[in-house]
Amino acid sequence: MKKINCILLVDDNPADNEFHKIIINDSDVCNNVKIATTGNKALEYIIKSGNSEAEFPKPDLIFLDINMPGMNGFEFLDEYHSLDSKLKSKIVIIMLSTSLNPDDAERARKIKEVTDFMNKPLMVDTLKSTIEKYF
Amino acid sequence: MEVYKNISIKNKLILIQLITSFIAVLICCILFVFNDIKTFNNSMVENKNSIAEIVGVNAIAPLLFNDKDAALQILTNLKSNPSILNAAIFDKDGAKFAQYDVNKTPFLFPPPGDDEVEDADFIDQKFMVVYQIMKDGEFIGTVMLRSKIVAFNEILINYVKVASSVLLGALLIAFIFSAFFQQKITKRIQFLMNKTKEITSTGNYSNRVLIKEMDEIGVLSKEFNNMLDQIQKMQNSLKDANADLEERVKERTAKLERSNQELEQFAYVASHDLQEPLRTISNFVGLLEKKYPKGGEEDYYRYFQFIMKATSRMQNLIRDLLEISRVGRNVQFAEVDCNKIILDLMAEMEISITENDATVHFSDLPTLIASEIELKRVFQNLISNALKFKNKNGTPRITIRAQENDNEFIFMVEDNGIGIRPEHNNKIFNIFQRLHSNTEYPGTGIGLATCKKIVALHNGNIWIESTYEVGTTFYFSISKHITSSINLAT
Repeated sequence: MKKINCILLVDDNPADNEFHKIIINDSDVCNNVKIATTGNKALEYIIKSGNSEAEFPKPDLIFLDINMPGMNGFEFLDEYHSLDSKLKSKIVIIMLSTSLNPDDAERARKIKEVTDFMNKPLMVDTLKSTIEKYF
Repeated sequence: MEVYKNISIKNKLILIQLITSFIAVLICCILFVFNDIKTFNNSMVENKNSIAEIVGVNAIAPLLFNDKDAALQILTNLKSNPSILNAAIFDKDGAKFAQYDVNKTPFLFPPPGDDEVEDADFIDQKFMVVYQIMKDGEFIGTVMLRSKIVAFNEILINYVKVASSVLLGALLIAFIFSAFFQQKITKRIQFLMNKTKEITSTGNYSNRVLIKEMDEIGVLSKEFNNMLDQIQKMQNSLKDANADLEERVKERTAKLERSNQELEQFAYVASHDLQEPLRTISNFVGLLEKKYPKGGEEDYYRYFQFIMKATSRMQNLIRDLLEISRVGRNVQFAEVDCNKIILDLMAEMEISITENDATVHFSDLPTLIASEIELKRVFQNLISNALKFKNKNGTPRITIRAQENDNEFIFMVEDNGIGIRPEHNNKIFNIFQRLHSNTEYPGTGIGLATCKKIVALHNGNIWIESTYEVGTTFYFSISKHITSSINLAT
């Protein structure tokens, strides 16, 4: 079983974050789970991880929610796009949404930083297969 | 008469005037001729009367002296007047005294005093005059002259010649004048006619006819103008009413659109936002369910099963609600090949089709203008219904066909499923309408309502023909002229 170092959850919903954390821990696919409740906090974390990786492990995988107050998932990606490419290297971004709107999935697929699009909630099986697939 | 009906007023007027003048001039000519003939005859008779008188006066002496030679001499002098054919002198006893005949053949004069010879007689174009010779108030004899009517025929022919040339001349003049004057009337009628044509062709009722003369045509023109006034007034009030109506329809439509949009927005947002807490419940109950597995502490597992079932059902309901509220949002109409849609669907539904051991037949489906996503959803709903409501004994057979007419395409999705009782035919398209319990046939009752909304979006209709326990055919039409205002589609 593959195991990655860090997963960053970007979601404003604490219940979802809690649940996903449990699922990630249950599936035992990574060492660290970090949580950012806004897009800005996520950007900050990525920048910090560039400075001191010991304190802030660099995420290998980001699960990005679309619907967030303030900065939504797509706006986050706009900002993320202009980050130093060193910071972004090897980061896999998967968008997570409750949205059944096919437009969102379509839009997400067009963004080159986005590797995949999945629906909430994450489950142990799907998480495992995702890790297998992308790492 | 048939020809007369269709000739123009201009020609009718000319014709009427010509006929009138012809008749008038003809009557005049006839009267003139008769009058002239009469005058001519009278003068002829008078002329002969005076000749007879002269002969009579000259014959007084020969009668008194019984000198027959002298009397004959007097009569012979009449030779100078060739129209006199015969002449005779009778004595007072009525006995012939002397006779003169131009043609040597003696004419047998009737005895004097006979009524027949009293007046001029025109029989045989000859006539006789009689003169009674008197001397000092005493009757002494009679003179009789027989004369032919001089050149009567030539005179008559002359008269006819003159009369016909007068007639012709009069007709010619009448023709010229009537052709000229009729213009004054017909031109105005033509003007009125052209104006009417112009108004009917352009529909411009503000046009008016200019009135110069207040005769019948003037009155007609005036009434025509009055009529135009009324039409214009009616037209204007109709226009106003129309504009008013249009305005109100617009307002009402905008209002409806707004409330419809709001409603759909509400359904969309509500269902979208309802999902989140429900998902959280479902997520954590799922975790609890694992913590208290079957056969474990008390009845927790059973309770969690109930909660999970309920949340999953609610999630389905919300998902379907979201689906139906999304019909018509950002819809795009384009050319769609229905054969491709069905092929795609069959690939997507392969598992379900194989599980049910079902066959799907389709042939020659059209390519049309529609929303591919929505049309696909209709087919998907109908096919999955056919699979879901299959007959307990027998494998599902689904046949998809299409027909085309002038205005629309009609699709038929036929199955050999459990069928629908006729009393439910209309009910099934209502939202949340279900005919079976959830354990029998799971579902939310939104699928056919969604189909109905999608078909309405394509200006079409959806209906069924079904035989209970034998099978159902779903029909739906897709208009060739899609104009639907998306938000009013329901």
